[in-house]
Amino acid sequence: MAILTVENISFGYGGLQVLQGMTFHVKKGEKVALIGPNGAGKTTVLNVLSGLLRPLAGKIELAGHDITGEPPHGRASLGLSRSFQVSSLFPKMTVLSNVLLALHGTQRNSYQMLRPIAAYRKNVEKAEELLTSIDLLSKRETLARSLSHGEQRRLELVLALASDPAVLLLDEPTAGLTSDESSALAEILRSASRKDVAVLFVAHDLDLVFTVAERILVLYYGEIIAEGTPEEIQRDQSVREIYLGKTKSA
Amino acid sequence: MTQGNKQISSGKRLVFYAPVLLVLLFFAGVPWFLDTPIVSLITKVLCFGLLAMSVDIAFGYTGLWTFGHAAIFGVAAYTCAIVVMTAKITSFWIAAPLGIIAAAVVSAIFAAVAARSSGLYFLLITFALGQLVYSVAVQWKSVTHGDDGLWGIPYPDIAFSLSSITYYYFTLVIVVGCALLLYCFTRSPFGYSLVGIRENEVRARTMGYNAGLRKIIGFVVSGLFAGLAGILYVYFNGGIAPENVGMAASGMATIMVIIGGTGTLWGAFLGSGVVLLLQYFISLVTPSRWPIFLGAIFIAAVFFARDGIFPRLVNIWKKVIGYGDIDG
Amino acid sequence: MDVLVVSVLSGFSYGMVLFLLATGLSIVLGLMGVVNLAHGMLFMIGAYMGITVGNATGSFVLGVICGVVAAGISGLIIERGFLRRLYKQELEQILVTFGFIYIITNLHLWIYGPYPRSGIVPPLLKHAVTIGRYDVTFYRLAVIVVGALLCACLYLLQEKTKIGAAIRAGMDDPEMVYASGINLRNVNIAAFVFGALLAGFAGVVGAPVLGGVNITTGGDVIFVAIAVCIVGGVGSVQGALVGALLIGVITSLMQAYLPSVAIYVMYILMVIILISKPSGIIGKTS
Repeated sequence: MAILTVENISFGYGGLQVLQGMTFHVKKGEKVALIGPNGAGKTTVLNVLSGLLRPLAGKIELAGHDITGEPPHGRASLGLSRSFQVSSLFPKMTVLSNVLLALHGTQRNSYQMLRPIAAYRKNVEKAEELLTSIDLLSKRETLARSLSHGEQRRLELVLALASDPAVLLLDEPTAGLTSDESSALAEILRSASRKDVAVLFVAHDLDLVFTVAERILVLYYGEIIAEGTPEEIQRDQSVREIYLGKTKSA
Repeated sequence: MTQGNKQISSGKRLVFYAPVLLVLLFFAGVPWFLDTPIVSLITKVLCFGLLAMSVDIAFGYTGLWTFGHAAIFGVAAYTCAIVVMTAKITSFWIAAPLGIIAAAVVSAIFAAVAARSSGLYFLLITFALGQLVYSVAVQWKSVTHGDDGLWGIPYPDIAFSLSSITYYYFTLVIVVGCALLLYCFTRSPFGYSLVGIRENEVRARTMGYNAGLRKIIGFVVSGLFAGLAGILYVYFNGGIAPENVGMAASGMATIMVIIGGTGTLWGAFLGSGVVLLLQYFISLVTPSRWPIFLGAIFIAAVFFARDGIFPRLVNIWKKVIGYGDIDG
Repeated sequence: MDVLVVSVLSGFSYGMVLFLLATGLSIVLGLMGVVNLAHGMLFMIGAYMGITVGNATGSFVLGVICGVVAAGISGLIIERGFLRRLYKQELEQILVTFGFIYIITNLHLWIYGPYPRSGIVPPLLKHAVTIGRYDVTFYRLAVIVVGALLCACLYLLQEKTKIGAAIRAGMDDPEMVYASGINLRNVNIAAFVFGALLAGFAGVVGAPVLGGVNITTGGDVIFVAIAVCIVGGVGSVQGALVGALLIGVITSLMQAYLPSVAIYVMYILMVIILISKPSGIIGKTS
């Protein structure tokens, strides 16, 4: 049961064609990795999916709704959430405020102008729970920009998880982390997301990819050139050529 | 580096907020202890303090570089003055809402036109629109009396007639009320979302916030209070003239916010007090050379008080009473 | 018909003055990203100094030279003393130069007094040519010619010289320019001062076209200069020319046919451009 369907998406600017004829789907609760060499257009895919870029052609469907023309905030309320490759936090706001903002984004009360945000007890409790799960509860009054890189990446992930999305788009979640930090983050990802959250994640970290992903899409110069389970991809000749160059023997 | 979450005793908290009580007592006591010209000055500080706070909402919190708030202030003031003069309306409760509606309309137009810009371009658009309003004030002589302005506006009736002293208290009550409303606004989910949009608009949008719409709403909310400030001012001043509407006045409002502390709300009020008090006392000494000092204050504020006076005062006070964490 | 011709000529001469004033602002904004609200002050400094010296010595040329030099020195002080410390801080630049507006205006009031000054015109050019019911002075025609010549020179400077190339490249990619061994900072300072000189020149030469200068001229004229930059496009001689002539001619026509609207023309043009093509008529669409 596909929750996210992408049909024939193409995108480019100037004279440059970045994505062409992209078609794939993600099933409910499925964990799909999107890999490919640098410059293949992986972040562009996420930008188009989250609505920050308009495709030149094609269709995107989320949970049965056509979201091709939908702005980013509309997609969020339909259950799409996203994290960024370079930590995209609210730097001069506290860690707790960052999470509260993430929670309120898809809630009806986000237009409330008189009641203090701290009075929404359920949200505050949920925020503290989320912060505990990434071990940042003690830093809840710290400004986001004062966190270490690893702490920022954890906060980055939690901001995307906070809204209980149906589809989670992650852009290089372990970028810049040590291998310990990466495994810790993978663990957080596994435990913090509900089983029925579909995850599409972009990664260079093949350890992460092969442990978490159920299916892998390989992007090369804006086209999906291979698709399959981790085992299938590992055996795929064209994929090996992209990553390893043409070799004499297997 | 780690900020501990030491529990701050409620006793300490009371001490921390004690200055607020002192400030309120001061304002309440002004007409009793000080001469009329000072009471006038303080009334002016209240009006411009409210204007500065409204500018802080748009500029400090939402990050919109507005250079047209004096135009919104002025439109409300002119509307109120015109209504009072032509329709002979003495009731505050009829004239003021009309002025505020005018302010809301103008703010909405400004915001809608400038919606997709930010930073410098937002500034230029609001500045151009503000100057357009100024030009109307100067040109539309039949209605606005041009450069002369509209005068002879008496104190309003609020159920009974107001005079100089009672109008001061009326203004004080309204401004304190508005300050509290604005304070709640800044701590509300909507208020937080404005800061989030300022800090990282892309992230805010992907979290579900309609940034474009919120910026417009935020700007209009800010405009409502700027308009109210204008109305309070026109009754206090007895009238209004184009010089209160143009770029110079808008620039002055922005400087008040910056001197006091951008994005702190109370800093804006403090900033207006500082600038107006300086203006008053320096003008006593050199009335015609005051602009040189004002210019020097602008320049000094940029180089030496970029974060504003208010945050520094808060930190000093925290150190003095030993209040928990002190921000670096 | 004569109204039309005279208005257009008038508009062109006004436009040329605006062009000379705004070019400096435009190049500096495009090149250094510096917002100098005090640029209008340089116009006023040049005008007042030039008029005073010109009247005192009886020499138009001497007046022009002194006006230009005064403006150049003032520009150098503003840039070296203050703006250089505010690199890339646009809001701060706006506020500091705003402060200068107050200071310089009041200094002029102090030194020169509150009465308006009419511009100086060399006796040769006081004669007029008659078109229909109106006279157009040779001076105005001379301003158009001189303006056009300067425009051509500036364009050549921009397109055909090494320093012009450095300036154009500096707008796109300052790091590359530094990497090519050109001291972009000196180029920037030179551009700023040159813009100030032009503004001072515009002040002395333009005062008769504007009908004289007064204490508010410095503050008034910066708005028009900004409007020219916005409408025409920041960062090029041709942008400044297009913006200046457009605003000059349309304002002049409005003054003749619909005077009550004239004052709004530049603001309306500004808002239209900012909404539809923010980079200006000649600007590059990003």
